[in-house]
Amino acid sequence: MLCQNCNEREANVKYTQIVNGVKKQMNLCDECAQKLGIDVTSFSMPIDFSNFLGGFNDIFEDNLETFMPTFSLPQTLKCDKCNMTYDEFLQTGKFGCDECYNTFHTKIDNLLKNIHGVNRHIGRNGRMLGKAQETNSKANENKQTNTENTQSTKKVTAKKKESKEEKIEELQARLKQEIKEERYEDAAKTRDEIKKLENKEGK
Amino acid sequence: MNWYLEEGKDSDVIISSRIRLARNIKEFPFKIKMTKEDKTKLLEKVKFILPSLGYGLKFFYLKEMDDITKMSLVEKHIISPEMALEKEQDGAIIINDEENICIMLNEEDHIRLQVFTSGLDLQNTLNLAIELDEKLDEALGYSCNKEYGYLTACPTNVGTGLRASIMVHLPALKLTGNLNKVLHIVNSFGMTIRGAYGEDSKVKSDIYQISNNQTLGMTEQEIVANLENITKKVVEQERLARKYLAKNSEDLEDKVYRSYGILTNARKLTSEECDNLLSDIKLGTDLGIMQELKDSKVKELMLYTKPANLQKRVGKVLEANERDKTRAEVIKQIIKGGK
Ligand SMILES: [Zn+2]
Ligand SMILES: [Zn+2]
Repeated sequence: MLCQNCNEREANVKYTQIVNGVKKQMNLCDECAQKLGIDVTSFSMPIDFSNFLGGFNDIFEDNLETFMPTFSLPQTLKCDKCNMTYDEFLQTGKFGCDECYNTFHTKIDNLLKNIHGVNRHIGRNGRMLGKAQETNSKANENKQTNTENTQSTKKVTAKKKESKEEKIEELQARLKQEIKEERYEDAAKTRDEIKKLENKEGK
Repeated sequence: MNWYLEEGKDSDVIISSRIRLARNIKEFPFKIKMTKEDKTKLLEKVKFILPSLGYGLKFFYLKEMDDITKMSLVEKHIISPEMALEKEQDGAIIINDEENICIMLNEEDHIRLQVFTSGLDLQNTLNLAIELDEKLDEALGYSCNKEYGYLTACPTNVGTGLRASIMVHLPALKLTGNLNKVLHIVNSFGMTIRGAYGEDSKVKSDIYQISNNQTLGMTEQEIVANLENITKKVVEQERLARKYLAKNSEDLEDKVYRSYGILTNARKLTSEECDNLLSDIKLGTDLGIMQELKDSKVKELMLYTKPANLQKRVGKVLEANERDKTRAEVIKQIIKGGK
């Protein structure tokens, strides 16, 4: 492998650092390592997240074939927006675009459960949420700036309502957690907040 | 003053807290499917909206920064090593003078928003990150969906996209032989604890980073609360071990002063040896065994003896051998200096 800095000499120094809780690594030649002031003392095997991906999905694949062969997804599953295949994801450990999350939905649900123990998000979310769904449903229609302008006002009111519902959802999740942790004082406050929001909705 | 030279809450054990949010902009594909033009366009777009963020943030193209400056930021854990060393250098960083806010662009995700503070304070750090995050979302429009939350290039970050981490100094747990027990327990609570510098087998400086694994299915508040909770337990254990050491302080005092002797008298010091000496000295200072150095001096020493920061300080590119000599000189300067 060539040095990732100069791309000229053979890399023989592996520089490892823990970043964001993940072990990360660079391959450098001696000269560049010296130049960049990296101590030539830490060596490690080139393991990253993608090395661990195969297993879960192989098991999942087997299960699918044993139990419901007709629903087994072809390995050539491919994202329309960025052209990434699921195999490519298994190799790199990275998705190609946001649409990949829809394309590989069934596989991702299983994968995320293995990584996080759950596969659904709770809490704060991006403001494009309402818009994303709308763009999907309107995907076949022609894009016209005029109509988009009138739509955007609709989106704003829709978004407001949704964000309130989400806020309530988030608070309810928090409430559950607080009760679990026996933080009753906090739980009482959260409960009042939920009440207040729900009352507002009634009016 | 820069956050990393300040004293924060519980700073006898806790070095710093960090919040990092991974975000992608809806209009672009993720990093591995981006063209060179996409990457340039993304940088221009973010650069354009930068004034709306406030906080004195400045924009720097990676390709216009010199290696020593980039590596000095890596040593401060402000940017990732890949970012500093990546071949293409088509990313950018947005940073303020205090360096407590740093946004990496075109890293593994389009946006890696980070906020730092010294000592233990994840809550306020998170609040500031959220404030900036919402401004960025407003201006740029993030990729997200209802089921998976904020969408990230790697599925290990999806959901909140939040990685919170705390750096802790655990020399007493190590000296008393209790470190592995603690590491194991922290891991079993679903947190990662790793050496912040170098390999696990020879963690330099006895500095560890504790961070959350799970980013999905928990709110940001829960993630932060859990991490703080676990960290406080680790701090308790470290303080217990320190109390034990202080009771039998003769040996420890000997060790600390031997280290101080080498640090102040050596004519040549490698980075690794220096890290180990400073770990002893930090422990001695935190325990009040030695009073020769103020806490802030120890922090300064720990920073400016690292290879890139050393070169940055003297404003010269130095060979390894030169560095070791200069390191010994800079140590004397810092200890003597009035600053
Ligand atoms: Zn090289
Ligand atoms: Zn895709």
